Formats: sequence, C-alpha cells, structure tokens
Amino acid sequence: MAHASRSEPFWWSLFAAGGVVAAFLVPIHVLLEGIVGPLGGPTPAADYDRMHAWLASPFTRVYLFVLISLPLFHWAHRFRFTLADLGLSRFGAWLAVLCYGAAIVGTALAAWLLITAP
Amino acid sequence: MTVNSPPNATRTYRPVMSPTWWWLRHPAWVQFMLRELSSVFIAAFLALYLARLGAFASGPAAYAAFQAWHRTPLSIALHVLILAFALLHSTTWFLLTPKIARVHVAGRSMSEKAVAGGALTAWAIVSALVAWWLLG
Amino acid sequence: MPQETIQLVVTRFHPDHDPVPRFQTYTVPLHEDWVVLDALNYIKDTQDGTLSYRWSCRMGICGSCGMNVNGTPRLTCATFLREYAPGPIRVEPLANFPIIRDLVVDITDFMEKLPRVQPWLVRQDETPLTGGEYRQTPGEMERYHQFSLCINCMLCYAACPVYGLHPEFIGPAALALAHRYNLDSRDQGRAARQAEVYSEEGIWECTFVGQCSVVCPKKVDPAGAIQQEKVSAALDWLKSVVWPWGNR
Ligand code: SF4
Ligand code: FES
Repeated sequence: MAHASRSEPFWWSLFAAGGVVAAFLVPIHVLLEGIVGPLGGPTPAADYDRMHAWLASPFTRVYLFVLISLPLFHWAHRFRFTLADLGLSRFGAWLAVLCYGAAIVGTALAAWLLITAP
Repeated sequence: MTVNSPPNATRTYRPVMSPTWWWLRHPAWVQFMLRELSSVFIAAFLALYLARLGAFASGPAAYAAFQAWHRTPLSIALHVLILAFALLHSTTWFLLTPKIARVHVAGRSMSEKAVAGGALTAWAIVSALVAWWLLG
Repeated sequence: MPQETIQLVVTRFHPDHDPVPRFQTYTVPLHEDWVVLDALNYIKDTQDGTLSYRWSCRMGICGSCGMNVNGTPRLTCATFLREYAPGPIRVEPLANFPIIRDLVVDITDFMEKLPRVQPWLVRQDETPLTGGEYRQTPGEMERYHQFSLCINCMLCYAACPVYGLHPEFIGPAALALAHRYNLDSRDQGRAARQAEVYSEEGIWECTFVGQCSVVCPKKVDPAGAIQQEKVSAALDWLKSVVWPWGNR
C-alpha cells in the first residue's frame, strides 16, 4: 500500500524556493560579477576594499546567504532526479544523501563564511 | 503443463527505453535535459561564490589573485556559458509559472500568458534593482 | 495529373511469428482531407486485412485511436496526412505500453492505476437523495472544469519519459483526475486520495517534463495539475510543522 511521502514535500519546497531565487537573481549576478566586473565594470566584488565595504552591511550577508543556499537545494533536487533518470535510479537513496548532503555542506559553509567574514 | 492456454495469448512485446540515452530520441526531451542541466551550471556559480568568500576571508592578496583569475579568457568563457544556462533556467521557470500557480483576480482566473508576462516583468524589475544596488 | 501519394511506415508485430516488432511500408493516396486513421482503414480495406489497430468514434472523443506518429503521440483520427507531406509517416503503437499486436497496446496498467486515485466524488457525509443534489456555482465548476475533459486516450502516458523509465509512476491522466476531484467543491476525498497521490509513485515521481500537456488533445494540462498538487502537498506539510495540532 502506497503512503504519502513525508520527506518529499520538504525537499520539493526547498527546490521550488531555490528555483525562484535562482531565476530572479542568478543571471544578473553572473553577468555583473562574472563578466562585466572582470572586464572593468564597477561591482562591489571587483576589489577587496569594495567587497569589504559591501559586506559590512548585515543585509548583504543575509542576502548572499539566501542567494547561495536556496539555489543549492534547487540544484540538489534536480540533479538527484536527473541522475536517477540517466540510469542510476537503483541508487535512489544514495543519490538523495549525496545531493542534499552537498547542498547542506554548501549552506553550512556559506553561513560560516558570511558570519566570520572580516 | 496441465493448463492449456491459446498459443501466446498473453505474449506481448515491451519496448525498452535506453536508461541513459532515452532523451536523445525526442527534441522536447533534449530541451528538458538542458533545462535540468542548467541547475548544474548555477551550482557551479554558487561554488565559485563560496570560493570568492573564501578568498576574501584569506585577505587582500588572495582576493586579488582570485580576481585576476576571473579576468582570464577561460573564466570569461565559463561565465558566458553559465549565463546562458542561467537565462535558460529563468525563462523556462517563469514561462512555467502559470501552470503551477493559478492566479485569480476578482474571481476570474488570469490567462497563462498574463501570469507568465507578469513573472517575466517582475524578473526584469528585480534584475534592474540588483544591478542598481551592485553598480550604484 | 497522377494521384499524389504518401508512404506510411507502420509497426507490425504478430505475437506468434515476430520475435520483435518490424516495420512495413504502405503507399496510400494523399487526400487533402484524410487523417492517418483514414489511411490505415484504406490499407486494411484494400491492401492488407491483417493490420490491427483500435478506433471507434472518428471524432476525437472515444480516445481509442492514439498512436505514435513520427515519434509523437497523436489521436490518429485528428492527425491529417498533409501535415507530414511529403512523408514518409512513421506510425507506431503508443509508446511505453506493451504491444499486443501491430498498433494495439495493452492498457491494463492504466486501468489498474486509475481507480487507485479514487476519481469519483467521495463524501464523508452522504446526504439522502431527498436532500436534493449537491449544488455548485459556475465559479466553483470553473476551478476543475479543464481537468474533467480527459478522454482516457493515454497519449500523455506515451509522451511521459518518467512513466517509460519508472512504470510504477501513477502517471499524468490519473493524477490529473485526482486533482480534478480534489478541486471539486462537492468532494471530500482529498485526504483519502493522499496515500496514493502524494506517494513516491504519485506526484513526487514527476520531474515536470511537461510533454503530457503538450500532446493532450483535450488541453487537460496534467503537468499543471501535478505541480498544483505538489504545491498543496507542500502547504499541508508546512501547516503540519507550524501547527502540528491542527487536524485539517
Ligand atoms: S490527460 Fe489528455 S492525453 Fe492524458 S489521457 Fe486524458 S485526454 Fe488523453
Ligand atoms: S477514433 Fe475516437 S478518438 Fe480517434
């Protein structure tokens, strides 16, 4: 007899929230900090002092935590299902541990780096 | 065997999908795979962001070295690729929004086009605000 | 002017003679107003009486004539030959189902899954017939109307790679019907459906490929239905965390 899953709604909620955050924020960050900045544009990430001033605001730190952590769970969820659909479904439980585990480690790392940043 | 059944009355042929390469067989499935793959490139960007914070924590010299790497053609090319997949994620995500969330205004459900259009507009506004914040 | 023709490359499978399915090519007249089903009937009547396939209504309502046409599931009574000119057109049985013979597939799996989601009005308190019908406003009807148009043609199952890869998946049409009743103001069966609908083989198996909604001839949008159920399930879960004492 099938039963309602207790874990899937939790992971799916994180996936959905992360998907929204990634959809809204990631392209503009990649464009400005990965392309425009290195090519000479003025972004806070362009040099140490500006980054320092930018990170001085608690808002920035909370913002960056959200930007990194939630989309990591978005990745973990999609990647778990993609791997299962590419022939690894018999390792289902391991895929979940691996993917969500990586997202949890990344989130903890983000928290630690943002709390301790100078 | 004591049971008599008509020859092959129950023999059916079950077609099998390649467990790994099935998605190459229909253009819509290739698009789907690219959409799912976008999350890997987004994760790469997040990992680079963690590395950025790590370099920043290690001090000005480490951060300058990290920035120098970002100016290499390899890094620019990588970021262009990441941007392409990030845009794929955003557009597919917002275009699918009306399927997930049915929006009712004044007792009537909004059309799928209107909801998707609203989501895409909101994306443009948020992107402009972030750009203004980062560059301002 | 010579009669224009088009080739049909059709799956043939006889369980007694063919170890695996093979293709057979037929040439049929390319009439402006002929659909793929007309061509199959023409073949059966004039060229090869052994060709087997299902059809009934010829008007897109019985849901029995579904086949994969050039790799995409279609109702063959609503698919014009001219769309595919100059051809050839590949006509195969609906994907993801076992083939019984030629273009006829075994739909037992779907027939077993359908009742599992209880696609009918479930009431906790049956009011006696003398109490009259359960009434509903046009607005309440509009909420589920789209999801009630399903003709059980199973094109969505043939289009779904998740069903192909993981046959235990309850699948698009059945889950869309569950959603249809969950949205019905007269229904009280959402909790009873949960065990199946919110299970690992239910909505959570779906990765939102979305092809079910693309191929659906009745615009039922099973993909949308499944994602909307995911949202409801997630909200239920959230409620149970912040208010564990509530008994919805
Ligand atoms: S949901 Fe659409 S495609 Fe699926 S069985 Fe119903 S009518 Fe056919
Ligand atoms: S023959 Fe009835 S739907 Fe095509």
